[in-house]
Amino acid sequence: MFILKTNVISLVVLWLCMAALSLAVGAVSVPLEDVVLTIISGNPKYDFVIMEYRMPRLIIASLVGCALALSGTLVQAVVRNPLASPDIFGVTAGAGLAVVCLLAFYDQSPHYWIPLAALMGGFSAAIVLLLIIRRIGFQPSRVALVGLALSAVCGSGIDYLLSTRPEEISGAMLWLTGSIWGRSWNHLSLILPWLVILVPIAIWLSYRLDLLSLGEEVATSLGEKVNRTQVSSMIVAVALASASVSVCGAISFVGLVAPHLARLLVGGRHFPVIFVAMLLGALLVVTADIVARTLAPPLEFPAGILVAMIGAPYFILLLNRYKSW
Amino acid sequence: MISPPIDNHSEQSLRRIPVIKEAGFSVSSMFVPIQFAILFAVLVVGFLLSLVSYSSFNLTLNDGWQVLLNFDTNNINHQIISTLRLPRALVAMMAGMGMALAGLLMQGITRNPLASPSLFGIGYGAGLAFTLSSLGLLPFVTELPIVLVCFIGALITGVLVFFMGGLHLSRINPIRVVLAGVALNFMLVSLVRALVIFADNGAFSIFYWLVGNVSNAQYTDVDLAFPWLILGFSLALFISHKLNLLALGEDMMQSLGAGLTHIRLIGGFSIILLIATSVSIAGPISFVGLIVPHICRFLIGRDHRLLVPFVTLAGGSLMLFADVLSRAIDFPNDNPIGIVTALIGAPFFLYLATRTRND
Repeated sequence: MFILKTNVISLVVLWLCMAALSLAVGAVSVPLEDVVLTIISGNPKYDFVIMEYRMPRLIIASLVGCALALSGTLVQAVVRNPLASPDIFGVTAGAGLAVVCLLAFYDQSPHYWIPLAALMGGFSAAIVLLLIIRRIGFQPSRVALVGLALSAVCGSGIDYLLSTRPEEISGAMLWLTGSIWGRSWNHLSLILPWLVILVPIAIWLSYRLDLLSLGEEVATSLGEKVNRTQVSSMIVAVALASASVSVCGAISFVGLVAPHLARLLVGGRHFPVIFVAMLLGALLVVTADIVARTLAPPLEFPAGILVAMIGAPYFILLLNRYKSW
Repeated sequence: MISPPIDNHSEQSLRRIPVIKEAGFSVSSMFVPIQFAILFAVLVVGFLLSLVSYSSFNLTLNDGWQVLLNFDTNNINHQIISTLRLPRALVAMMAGMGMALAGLLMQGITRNPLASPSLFGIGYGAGLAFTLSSLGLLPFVTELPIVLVCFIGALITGVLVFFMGGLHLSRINPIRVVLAGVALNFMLVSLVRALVIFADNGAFSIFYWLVGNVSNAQYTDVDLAFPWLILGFSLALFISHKLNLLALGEDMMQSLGAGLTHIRLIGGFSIILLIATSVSIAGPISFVGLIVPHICRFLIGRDHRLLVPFVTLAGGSLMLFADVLSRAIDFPNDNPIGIVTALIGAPFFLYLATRTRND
């Protein structure tokens, strides 16, 4: 418990530092004391930059990081495979396909349809994956492989639509690489409710997932309804992933990396892992966002690119650690 | 252009390696020349269609034929075909040949049915090198010939995938290598995107380049790629019967007296050469290297001495028809050819994924 406390406290402190940095740096640098003053009492000089532009961005980046990390934790627990992540399940690609379809066929549609389309797309891809898996058998590595193939199918559809409708490319590209650019307070309502509802469910599930990690037979003999836990965890995971994809596009690898680091820090019990993973996810996305906009201001890189550049090497390292798999 | 060395399959050459025949490699040799002839006809038809179909001008099949046989400098149709269509068809065909052959060699050497240039990330490795050099971000790279640059990129990625995927271990899970390749792919694509954003180019051109595109093909591309393709093909033929031995298992192969390191080095060099050549002329075209060897194995059996020429012809044919389709799907607009191969290849990958066994 002591380790957990120190970990959580140090992560929260780290997150606060990053948050302050995130509010201070950018195309216009604001001195740190002015940041604090603006938040506390308001300062007409910096009010707009900080409260209307950087604050929503910081909060949305953190929430998306939390949601992706939690989703990854649940997926890895259910599949009992350390290499699984919501990206590999085709959720991201499905959401991407749905959004590109919407942009291509109904370009007059209001912008708040985009998150809805992403949500639907993510769910549909997950359902298709489940149907295929039911037919060929539930085996972790095959789930990953079929998920990748499903992503490839969605990806080819995205490519086709983008090439036949070139006028949509720029917007869609930005969305597909995952960016937190230009997110405002309006976007908060797309992610916050999901987290408010699903985090308690995930905590409730975490004890059951501990039983599940002992193996399906043991869990069953301890009176656990294995199938029900698996399915409900999957639904929660897919909903979280789809919700975060719908807000800021496809930010890959957060769901893979954060749960791992969390387990490394606090061990295998899911209750602490969930919290630490969420903090780490938030930290990761906020950091990526800071780097993305300070690398070459006023130019902005999509944050998703930076997360992928941290996440992909880590993933390859993981492959080396799990030799038996 | 490449007459299939059907003689290779004569009874005499088979008698040298009796094991192969017993292991179920024998295809009834009566049909093999017919299959090659049919495939060659398909290639020729694809080539002619690619020359004349879906143009804003009224090109006829006869025009396509005439350009090849007696070229008339005053005929506008002939000029269009020879300056725009002919290099394009040649580049598409050569890129397809290179990618398909590279896929076959990768599948043969790793004995992994999912091995292919795009799934292992090697295509994008070459792509990243190409982007670096064409954007002029590293000055000394820009001065090197483009094939060499792509070759270095493909080589670095290839070595990375080889070790990270654990191909040097004796027993590895095929899916593991694919996951390593996919992660690497993700990183490389991100890098390419970041570079292009940094260089402030349009999203459109980077998208075209990442998907694979032959619409700007020129004769210089053909000249550039031809010798390397021939070299890669010759090396593939040279190791083809050793690939047959390798298919029996590494232990079996070594007990038959063939060196594993030898075949891996030559094969690896050939793979990287073929991929680098294809990518430098047509971009990282996906899935050709995955699906063509599978289809060919289904058609003609598992003897690599036949598969090498057969896959080469089939890869060329597939790309020629893909070129026709890429103009057909949204006529009169021209789409990148990689779209068509992805639309065909991705469902095929899904099909393979549901069938691949873990053990």
